[in-house]
Amino acid sequence: MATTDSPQGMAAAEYPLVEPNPKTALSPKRWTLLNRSQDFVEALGYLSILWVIFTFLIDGGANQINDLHSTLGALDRLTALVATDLLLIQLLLIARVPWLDKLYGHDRATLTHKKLGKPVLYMIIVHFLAVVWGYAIAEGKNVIDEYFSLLNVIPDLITASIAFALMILVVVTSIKIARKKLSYEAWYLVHLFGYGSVMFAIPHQISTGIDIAGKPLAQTFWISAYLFVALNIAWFRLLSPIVFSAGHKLQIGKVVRESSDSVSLYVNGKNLKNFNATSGQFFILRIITPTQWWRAHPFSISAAPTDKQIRFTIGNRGDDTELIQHVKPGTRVILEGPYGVFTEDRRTKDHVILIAAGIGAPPIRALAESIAAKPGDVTIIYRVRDKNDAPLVDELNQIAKKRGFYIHILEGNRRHPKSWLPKSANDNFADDRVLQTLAPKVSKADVYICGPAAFTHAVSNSLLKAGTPANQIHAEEFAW
Amino acid sequence: MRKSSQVLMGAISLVAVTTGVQVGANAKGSSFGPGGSFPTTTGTPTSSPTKTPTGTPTTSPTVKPTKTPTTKPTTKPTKTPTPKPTQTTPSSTVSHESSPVYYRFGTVQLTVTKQGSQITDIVMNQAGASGGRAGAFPYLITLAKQAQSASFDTSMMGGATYTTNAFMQALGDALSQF
Repeated sequence: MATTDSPQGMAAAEYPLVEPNPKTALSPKRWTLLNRSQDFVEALGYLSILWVIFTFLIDGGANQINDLHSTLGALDRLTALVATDLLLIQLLLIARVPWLDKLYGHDRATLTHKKLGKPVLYMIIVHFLAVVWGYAIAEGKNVIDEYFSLLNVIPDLITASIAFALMILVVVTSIKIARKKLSYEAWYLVHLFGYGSVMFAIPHQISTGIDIAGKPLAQTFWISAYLFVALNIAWFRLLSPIVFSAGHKLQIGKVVRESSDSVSLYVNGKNLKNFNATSGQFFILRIITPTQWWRAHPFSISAAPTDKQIRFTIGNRGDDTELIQHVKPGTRVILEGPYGVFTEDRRTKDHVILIAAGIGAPPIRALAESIAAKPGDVTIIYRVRDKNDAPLVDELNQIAKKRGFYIHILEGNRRHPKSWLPKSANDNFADDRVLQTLAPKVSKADVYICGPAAFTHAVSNSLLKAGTPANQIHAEEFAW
Repeated sequence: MRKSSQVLMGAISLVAVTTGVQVGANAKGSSFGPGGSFPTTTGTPTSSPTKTPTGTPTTSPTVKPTKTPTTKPTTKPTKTPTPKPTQTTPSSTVSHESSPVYYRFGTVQLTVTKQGSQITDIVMNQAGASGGRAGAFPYLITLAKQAQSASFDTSMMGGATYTTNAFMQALGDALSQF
């Protein structure tokens, strides 16, 4: 087995490591607190939906149903209310607001945002069809003729139709098949139309929305909901990153090649402690050059941040990340963040296993540097194709040596498609058994995994089989 | 969300939905009143017959005039289109019925009575407006009579946009027949 306990090829100068964290409180009470906070926020979201349904019901919404025509009327109101509420929740989930990020991490928030996409569109389709069909029945026309005649009759139906078309566009470009064919940039630009969709829908809600107009309670609810979401987006997504980055005078300090396909960007600035970034977190990095300023990408911190410097290690995936490999020192950058709950804060056990694959190494490398631990408490498993061309392998060895951590560098291609282990692993043992030999305390440890989605899933399965409880497994999936 | 929280949420939803339906059953007409202070009818022409429809207009089974004006002289059975409204009687009362306007919450049909050029009366023949919107008609009638027109300011009305539009359309149709 290609494991090693000694540093390999320490040609590069040693990295000036920070002092690790002092012993942190490892109380399971923090999980209870976290669970309660999560339940509270989820309940608020849930209650907002329940509230709009409730207002619909007390207005007699369900009681007026007696034939197809009135059923369509009720259906169109109800779907409009629930979909609008969900749409606002969706916007909030993607606004990268810190108070949501602390509870769920960016990955879970983004996944929920994605999951809501199709249901919201379906509801809006039902809403649209129910309106037009309902009128068509009343006036005895076919649905298409009815729609065009309604354009003159219903106030703001034109803007509402634009909103509807934009929403279809946003969802369709986000389904898997379309995503594969589109570049990230094209998809991103189309996705921005989502904001347009929300705004174009507002006039018809006010002018024809019988559940809003003339109902002070409903008006107060919707105005506060819209304002709350708009302010969160405006501050956290637009203003705060610009204000912070300018204040901290952020710029590229140096660019260092780590492997044939990765570089480290050293971002320098003043008083960076104010960002409160910790190992395992990531920032959205925006490089201010004439061609790149409008595209931002998430990158993990690859060393414990200091007051003057935050380091990112970035793999070359052939797209924008290729341009980033050639960025010039002195270039201004804007950082949005820090985000993510792939941090020591989520830990409840003394023993820790850090598992990385390829360009998943940066957050693992940063955690290893700063995590509170005694010698022997931490095991690092690093899965690479070629250990002579793997990012940060020297630094991980350096940390393991200095702090007395076990380290296993697993090198080579996968032994079979469903395994996360290389060919050199003992074929007589399943993945979970191999894991137990590499890290005997696997069931009593907090485990941090960072790598491609397939790798993360394979390792998680091995961990569960080896007896690690699910809430001790920490993984961040980049759902971009 | 944890199991216990889910159960709690489920219970809350159940209570909210049942209460909502219960309250909703008695909610008819409660929500479509005027939003602010409603103008009184003091500004209306004094000659207007005081037929303020305060109750539900649907219950008033007024004379349903046919398309032919009631004042049409019946003594002339010939097809000759001579029955012009005589200019010598400016105070003669003429009524016209609108064609029915179908809209999402029902059907609206009304009869307008004019004395000379004054709209003196508007009677609902069909005042279909589900979900409590029927409460809007009395206000609409008062406003229309104040404005003496099929289009008038409804900014002090709360809600009932569809009903208002249907009402105005029917009124316009009836007025066009004069």
